[in-house]
Amino acid sequence: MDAHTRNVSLRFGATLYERMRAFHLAPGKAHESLSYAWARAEETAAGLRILLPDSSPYFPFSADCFTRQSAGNVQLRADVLNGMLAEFAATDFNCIVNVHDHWFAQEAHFSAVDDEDDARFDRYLREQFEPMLATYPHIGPARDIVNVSIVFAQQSLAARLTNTMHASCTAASTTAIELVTVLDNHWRTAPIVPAERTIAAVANDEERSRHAEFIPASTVNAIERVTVGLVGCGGLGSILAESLVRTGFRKFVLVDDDEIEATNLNRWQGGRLQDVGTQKAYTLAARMRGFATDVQVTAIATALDDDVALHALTGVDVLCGGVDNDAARWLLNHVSLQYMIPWFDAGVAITTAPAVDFASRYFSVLPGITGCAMCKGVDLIDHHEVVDEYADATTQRARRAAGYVIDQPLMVGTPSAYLLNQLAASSCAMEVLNYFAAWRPTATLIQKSWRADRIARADRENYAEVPSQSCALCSTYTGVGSALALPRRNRSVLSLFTSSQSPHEKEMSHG
Amino acid sequence: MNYRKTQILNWEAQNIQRWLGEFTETTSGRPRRARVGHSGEYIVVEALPLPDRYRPDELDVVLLLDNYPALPPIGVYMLTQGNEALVKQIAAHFYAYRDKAFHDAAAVPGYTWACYHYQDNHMRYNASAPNRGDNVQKFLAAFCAELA
Repeated sequence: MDAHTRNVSLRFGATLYERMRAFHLAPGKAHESLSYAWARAEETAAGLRILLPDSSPYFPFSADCFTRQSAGNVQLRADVLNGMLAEFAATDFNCIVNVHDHWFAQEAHFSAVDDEDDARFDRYLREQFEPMLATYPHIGPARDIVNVSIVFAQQSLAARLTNTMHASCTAASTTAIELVTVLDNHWRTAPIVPAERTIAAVANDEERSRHAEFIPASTVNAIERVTVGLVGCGGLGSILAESLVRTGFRKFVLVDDDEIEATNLNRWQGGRLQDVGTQKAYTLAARMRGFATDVQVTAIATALDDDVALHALTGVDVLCGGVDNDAARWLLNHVSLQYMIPWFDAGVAITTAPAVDFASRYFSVLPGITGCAMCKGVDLIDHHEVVDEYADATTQRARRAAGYVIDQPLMVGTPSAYLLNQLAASSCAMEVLNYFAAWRPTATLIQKSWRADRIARADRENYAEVPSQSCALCSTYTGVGSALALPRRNRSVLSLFTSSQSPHEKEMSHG
Repeated sequence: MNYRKTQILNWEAQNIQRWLGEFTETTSGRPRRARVGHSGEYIVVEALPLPDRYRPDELDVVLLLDNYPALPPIGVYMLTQGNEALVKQIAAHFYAYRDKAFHDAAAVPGYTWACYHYQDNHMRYNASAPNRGDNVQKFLAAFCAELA
């Protein structure tokens, strides 16, 4: 895609974002400042996404790092810049974010001086830094560097990509970043210049008019703009999808590799006899397009861990899970953390002993804000099932032969209760909407028991969970994008070894 | 090969090497070594020290780490050749499967899988200070302790 037409967005961890703002817009400030951050730039189905989790290396430079620092200009010492770039080179970060401020202005705009500075730095990256990495791999991995600039002003920020390799006589070398998201307790975007595009004439739209009475226009605008990734288009997912469309969400990616079977018709929302044998994702997408005039749905009828599905999901803004197994939840947990995507999950269970109960469960993962599904302090995912599914095929079979099998005899495997699915989907859709509308603290866990007539709701106000420092997933994978591979199932153990080499070299030759 | 993953496993291999250096030399004179495998998804340990009652008192093993640190190594692959008697002894402690193909999954030729699960497969991994949390060296130490 051409650099000037591509869709570029930036996703901040809230702590890092606030830290940057505090540094650049400190009260009483009378001089311009400069800072750098290292980030991951990921090509997703929705365009280029810059990931800046709270753990991103961040360098707010002090006064002694500059050769010149005045009210409207700042210049970093060459040795300081070179030292930072040498450290950057030795990592696998592929994006440098330089941040400065126009502390004296209300609205942020890049100046002509900024244009010159960014172009000069970018030419250095293209003409010297990248070729150096390509020539001397011992310095660091060879890679294309994404060059991002941010300028903060009191009321807004402006952000852009610079790439002088794409400059021509007719086109500038910069691309404006159109969406800056701050991962927080609720959906939050940073005020940017130029302003986000808004959906016009919401109040006059008949399809939305009854919502305008209680959903603020800003929320309507946000939910129509974001893309929801819905994984699982079965009994639960089909209700969830319809609920979200009728609530006002308009853009979706659906993932499910199942076909509709006759046994699904007792719970598959809107399912008809003639739908039997069709792909759930395609049939659901077709139905959703009929609910409103401007629904955009991409349906992917593959397994969740298929490359096409994963690539599509890494570009969504919100993940919703309506899956029926923990191996899929574990993968969604990874996608959510690695690509900094809030994830809302709905699940149901029917127990038959000692007495029938219908239970529904909702939980959310806000990467960097809440614990992930593995460290919330509540067992949300069966670890044994995950180990079993994601071990390489040989180890998996060996474990099973050794007697490590999942057995939950008191649970009904695939509950076929339409009413229970409605309850779970409704709860999840309501919380997704609340995440955008911010009517009340975002729920992190809701458990309902029909028999006990009990609802337990943990939210960001009454239960302040944070990512656990000893959580392998939160501490290692948050915001890393593709720098660490997403887990795959059914890998051959032999594929881990190179074809001609064995773990102990010659010892393998007899095999 | 994934750069960041290799960095993680390089640290683990060096940490294991440090630990191996704390033991006396092998009776066979073989050096104790740990290194990251060629694909960057496993670690090879040569001359892992075993408790005194084992003869020989060293073992070559492979730890598959394709999902590490999200998941710990699942079991231990022990080099069978030249260690048949030893592997038989170890099999008294763990389920062990030698050269066995499991339905459609190929075995690792020449290796015996020992069904060892560290902390019930729950690892408390600390990315900023891996020596403080669970790591592969601790996994190996626990495996050896289990054999004692």
